[in-house]
Amino acid sequence: MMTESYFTYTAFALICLVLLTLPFVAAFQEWRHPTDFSALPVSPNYTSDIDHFAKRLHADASAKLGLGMPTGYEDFDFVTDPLEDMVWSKASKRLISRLSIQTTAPIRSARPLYVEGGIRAGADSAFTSLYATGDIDLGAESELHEWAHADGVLRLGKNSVALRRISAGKAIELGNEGWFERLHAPKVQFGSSSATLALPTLPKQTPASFADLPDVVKQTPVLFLIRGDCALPAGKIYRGSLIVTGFLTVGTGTIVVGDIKSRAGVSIGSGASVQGAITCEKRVYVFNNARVFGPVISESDILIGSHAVIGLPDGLTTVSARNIIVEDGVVVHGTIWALEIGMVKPV
Amino acid sequence: MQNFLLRLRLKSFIDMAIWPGRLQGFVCVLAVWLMSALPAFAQPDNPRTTLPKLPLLPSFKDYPVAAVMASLLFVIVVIMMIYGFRHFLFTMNRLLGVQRHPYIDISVARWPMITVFIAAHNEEKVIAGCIEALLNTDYPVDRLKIIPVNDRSKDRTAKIIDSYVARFPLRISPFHRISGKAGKGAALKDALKFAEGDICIIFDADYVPGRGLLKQLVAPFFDPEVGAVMGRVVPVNSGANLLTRMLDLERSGGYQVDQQARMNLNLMPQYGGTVGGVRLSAVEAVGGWHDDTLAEDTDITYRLMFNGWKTIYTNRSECYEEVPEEWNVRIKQVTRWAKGHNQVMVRYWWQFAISPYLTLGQRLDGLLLLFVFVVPLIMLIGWGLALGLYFLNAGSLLSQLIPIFALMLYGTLGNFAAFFEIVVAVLIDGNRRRLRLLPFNLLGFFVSLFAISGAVWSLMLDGILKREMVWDKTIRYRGEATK
Repeated sequence: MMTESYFTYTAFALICLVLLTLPFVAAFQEWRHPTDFSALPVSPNYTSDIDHFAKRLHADASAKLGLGMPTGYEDFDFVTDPLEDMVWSKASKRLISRLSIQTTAPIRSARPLYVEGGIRAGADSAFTSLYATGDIDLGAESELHEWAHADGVLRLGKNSVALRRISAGKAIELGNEGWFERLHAPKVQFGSSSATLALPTLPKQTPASFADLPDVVKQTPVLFLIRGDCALPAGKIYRGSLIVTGFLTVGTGTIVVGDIKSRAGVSIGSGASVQGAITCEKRVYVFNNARVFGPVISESDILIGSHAVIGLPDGLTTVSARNIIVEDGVVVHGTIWALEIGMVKPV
Repeated sequence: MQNFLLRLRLKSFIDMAIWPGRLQGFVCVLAVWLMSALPAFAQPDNPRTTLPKLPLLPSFKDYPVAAVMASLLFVIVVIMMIYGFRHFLFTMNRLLGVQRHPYIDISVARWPMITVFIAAHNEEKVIAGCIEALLNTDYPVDRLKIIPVNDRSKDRTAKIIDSYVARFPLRISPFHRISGKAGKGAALKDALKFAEGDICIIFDADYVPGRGLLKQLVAPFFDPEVGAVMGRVVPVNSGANLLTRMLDLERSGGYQVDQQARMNLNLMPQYGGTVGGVRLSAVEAVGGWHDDTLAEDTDITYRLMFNGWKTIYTNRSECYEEVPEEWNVRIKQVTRWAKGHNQVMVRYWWQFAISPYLTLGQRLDGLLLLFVFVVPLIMLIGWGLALGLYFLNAGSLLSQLIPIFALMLYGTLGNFAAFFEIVVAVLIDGNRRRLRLLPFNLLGFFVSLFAISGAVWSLMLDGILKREMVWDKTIRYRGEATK
């Protein structure tokens, strides 16, 4: 009986010892003969510049054309002249066009295209990546799949799809019912640029203070906190920043000279103006003709009403959310970034 | 061909073994528990046996000492289980939860005026690298002021700083501190008076910020509720020796999983005093910068939190740092952290517990984090109790508690980053083979266990004997390899 018990315990102890020792064998090997010990790569030049890939293609193409320093990646084919002879689907390398491209026919290229000058192509065009030193003008239902950059203006017709990084030196105009992810330009115009909307009659604005709001906590001389929902009445001017743990409503025509933060949602009324940033953990509504000068950040969705303007021509900013829906006539100065879906609402 | 197939099978087996799937995780936990619990099941309860049958638990009446010890052990086991569950929750969240990086997309904005402080005390080996990196960032030059804080350096640090000031007089304003209280917190407190703008970003001198890092660290401050921001620290000398490789694993778990999960769950990410920044108006509002603590970063994190401000962790804002290459340096570092952290715990735990600004999750997470440097001592006490009760032959249920305690120890090994966290973090980082070193972290764990326990004891003595706490600077290694 005793022998059996000792045997059981000895066997158990041995099994435990082996199980404990086994991982140390591999550990010891890795210690004595390291195979994976380098520091986690952190690029010293890392930035989130939207035109990162465009700059690289520009550098490679410039080198190929003898206009820039060699990059070591100068393997290109040239677009044929006349353009009608070009078989886009047969291209096996990145492409350079020495001249501007003008056609009413669609162009569908699976290879990155660099255009010295502008490019105008018909409806249903499609590019993986496209760079033009002039303007880019693609017809309705066109598609940009990876990135595109125009040094001038980039226009996409109705029902177009602009995926990943799209940037322009002057402006981007995305037609109605278009889809987008990340757009950047000094001026990003959604819908028809000629869209008009009657301006609402705004109440006369009178100065007001966050300190007079019910249950407010003064965090700093210029920052106030309200636990619960908060509605700022219409036609007031508030100076300072506000944090609301519930839902925040900014009344029609009210001006906030500062930043606002809400955890449960924000609604910026028609013609209202926030001269700072809006950050929110939930949905943000920016109604018609409202203006926001600083970044608009939501961890959920942003809906921007027609003719609302975000950012300033000399003060670019960022709009970012999981999903963004914009209406006709919205203008964003800077970057608009829909992490999942960006859509221009049908008129 | 057979060889190939065999290799393929072996590879699949290894892949499966390393892959942290839920099913495999569950099976592993079950297996470990069974193994640990076996001795308990092996307790003789056959009536024919000659040994007397043990009571389930020692009664207070019959065995008062054993009963008190058992009660204490039970409490400790519960505490360990809570910490173990917390690590598990964080890891599962990092694997399966929604990842929050709300401000990382702000790449274009009217950037605010900021001041970057470089904390430097005898940093001749590294200060130039940090200044150079900051001069090369893409943050608007007219909105950035760099202040190297030369705190009573006795080496060439001051000369190096002045050489940069001569070259960039409009961008760098040095702060040469020749007297005053010792320590980073005290030096920064003096230097903060010279800040321009409301945002200040702080780096230690051995850090090398990347080009886009400042914008990433400043972006969260567009949210008026944010009082502090923390980026991710990555060891640059991870391959130097076994210690640095182990610390690399630990840092990975601590940032990639632990901090990010706390950010995801809207709990309490921690400002770490470097690769991060604070809003000066917020610091002012919560009582200013304290220089009477060894962990001014933890101190400010907690004061901000219980006064209604938030700390944001940005996992993609990575920056290299040096980790200790010698055990004595590591022990000093851990001891300093432990003493500083526990100082904060003693000062603020009650204010934190009753703060009206915190959610239940934030309150719980914050308190668990606050007590994290007491846990090793509790663990040691638990070991002592478990052993004592075993030899007292105190009760059959206790013999089952002991393996559960052992399991929870297993779950919380590594102190900050439990093994599961480390594995997942390293895999997310795209590394794999370095995980083979994981068993050696047991060694690191034991060292930390005793160092931290010693620090807790020393802190108590400091309080009783009214001793002043001494700041131990971490040694730098850069340049030694090239000598």
